[in-house]
Amino acid sequence: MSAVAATPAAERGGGPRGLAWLVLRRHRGVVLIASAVLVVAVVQLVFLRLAMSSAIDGLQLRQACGPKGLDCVQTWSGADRFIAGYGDVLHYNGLLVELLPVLIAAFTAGPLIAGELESGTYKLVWTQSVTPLRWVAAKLALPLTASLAGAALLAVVYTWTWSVVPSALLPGRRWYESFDMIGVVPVAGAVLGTGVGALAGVLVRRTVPAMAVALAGYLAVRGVVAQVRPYLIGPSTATSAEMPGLTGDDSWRFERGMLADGARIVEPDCGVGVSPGKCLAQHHADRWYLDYHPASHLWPLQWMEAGVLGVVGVLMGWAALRVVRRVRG
Amino acid sequence: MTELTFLPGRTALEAVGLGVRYRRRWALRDCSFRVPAGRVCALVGPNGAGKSTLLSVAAGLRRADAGALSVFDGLPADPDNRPRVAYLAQDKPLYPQFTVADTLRMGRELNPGHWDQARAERLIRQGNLSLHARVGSLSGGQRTRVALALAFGKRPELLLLDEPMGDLDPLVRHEMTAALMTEAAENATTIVLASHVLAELEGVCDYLLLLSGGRVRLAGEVEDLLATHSLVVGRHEEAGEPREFRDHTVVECRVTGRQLTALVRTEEGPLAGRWETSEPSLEDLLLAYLRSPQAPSLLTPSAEPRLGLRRAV
Repeated sequence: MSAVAATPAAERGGGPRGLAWLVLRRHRGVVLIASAVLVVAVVQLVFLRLAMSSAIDGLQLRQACGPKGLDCVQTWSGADRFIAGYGDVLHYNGLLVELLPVLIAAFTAGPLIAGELESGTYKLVWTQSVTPLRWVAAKLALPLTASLAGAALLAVVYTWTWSVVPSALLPGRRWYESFDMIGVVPVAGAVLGTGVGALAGVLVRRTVPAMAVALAGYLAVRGVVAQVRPYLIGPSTATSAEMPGLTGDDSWRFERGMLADGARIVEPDCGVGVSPGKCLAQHHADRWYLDYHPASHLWPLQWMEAGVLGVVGVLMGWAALRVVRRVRG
Repeated sequence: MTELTFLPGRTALEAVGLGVRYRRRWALRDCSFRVPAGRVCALVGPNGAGKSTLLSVAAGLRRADAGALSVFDGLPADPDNRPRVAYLAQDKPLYPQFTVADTLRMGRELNPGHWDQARAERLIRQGNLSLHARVGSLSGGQRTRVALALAFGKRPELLLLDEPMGDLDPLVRHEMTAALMTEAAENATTIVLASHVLAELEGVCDYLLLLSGGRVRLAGEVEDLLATHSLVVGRHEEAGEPREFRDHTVVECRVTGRQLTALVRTEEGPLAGRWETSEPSLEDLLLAYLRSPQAPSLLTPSAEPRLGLRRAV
């Protein structure tokens, strides 16, 4: 039995062992490309933040213009120049952060899992000395760790870059409009992407269809969660005699309507050219109300949504393991 | 070394009432047999007989839908059994982007503690394959060699091979067969070799398992199976089967003109009368059973399952 220990010591180099080695070797190309893209994205985001910061100072965009302060015409033209110079770059970076989990879902479903099931190479691995369950667990754990680290790094750097811009300066980039790109939500998106991808992979078992299903599944979950986002934590409500605007300060105003004896009428139809006051009378209402989240709700909302996405992702990953277990112990 | 010694009493593979279903269709149904350890067993049957299904259940890739299949008296998917069984699937899946060396490294990484690198590399070297060649660039026969090397390196006690020689040229086939026989002889490895090419099996296998239509038709030592059958030739001019056949089980009986050719079981004693009898070849035996689906199955005593008494699974 001495031949059992015949593996020469010289071959026992450092580095990962067992299934970890297999998964990394198998997806070496993707690991290298993804790392390179991540490094480039982070470096240019840091430069972008520095450039935007000095542009904001140079164009004097931090203070509001007004009677006693700066010349408004000059400020406005400076803001235009800032938007023209940095708006798109920041936007595309935000899209990268927002879509990263989609890529993770498609990769997990397709090349990572369904590809092995489709080409039959799973038979090769399952008939070595590791159980199918451990294989799937390793297949999920390593990419999950990597995508969590990558998504977290990218989200942190993007949030840091985004936060240097005063919210009034970039319309469309306010906190509630950038919600999917900043904070912990992209990181939870990576968990969801891995879970959805794993489930799609083990159920569909063919690379390209599995990627499509994972994509649709991920977007469906995000769509549903986005619908209930305003209610994840209790909103603030303001009432007024005058009709409130839907934009204004830094708060997220998501629902407006009238109150008639305490009953809500959401966005009542008043007809064309009817003044808000008359409209109120038409509906026998006495006041307007406005549901909104002040900027201070950003982080509670982020953590709630991240929690929901994370739990759904973990459940789907667990279901994927159950499917493998059912087919093969 | 006791665990590697030939022990006729040990069981490598044993099925009791085994059934496997693909949606509505049963690929295997009510299969019961036993393969003792240390045998080289031919798993024979026409396409679609359930050979691949049987092997994938034994390899722990599929679950049985009815009955049970045990490997060394345990479940095939038992973590203790995985290191003891090597399996070569019909399509010989390998990672095409891996080099040969990577593929062997995978064997080492996934079989910690019982991987034999030297044995795997020896088989690779015999084929003049470079360890740095990419698997995707190899020919079908070379890929089979790499897959076999991976199976050998695992030092299995049971080696399951699904149509292993299909894409090999005769010279390499001969070489691989020799390598298999060496493996079986040196390490008392039990080998189950599925094939529908009869030439692959003659003289290689000492045990036989014939499947057709998802059922076991014949199981046992090749010698014993051949010895319990007689190939009968003679003139026959009456209608119906000859009277002398009544006390015997007739597997197949064909009359061409006045010439009668039959395969008859002779467990009950030799055939009386004017018939010319001889021991059939393996091919005669297999073809006769495959042509006569109604002929009753035959299991020699060593191929009778014992699991029914123990219910170990």
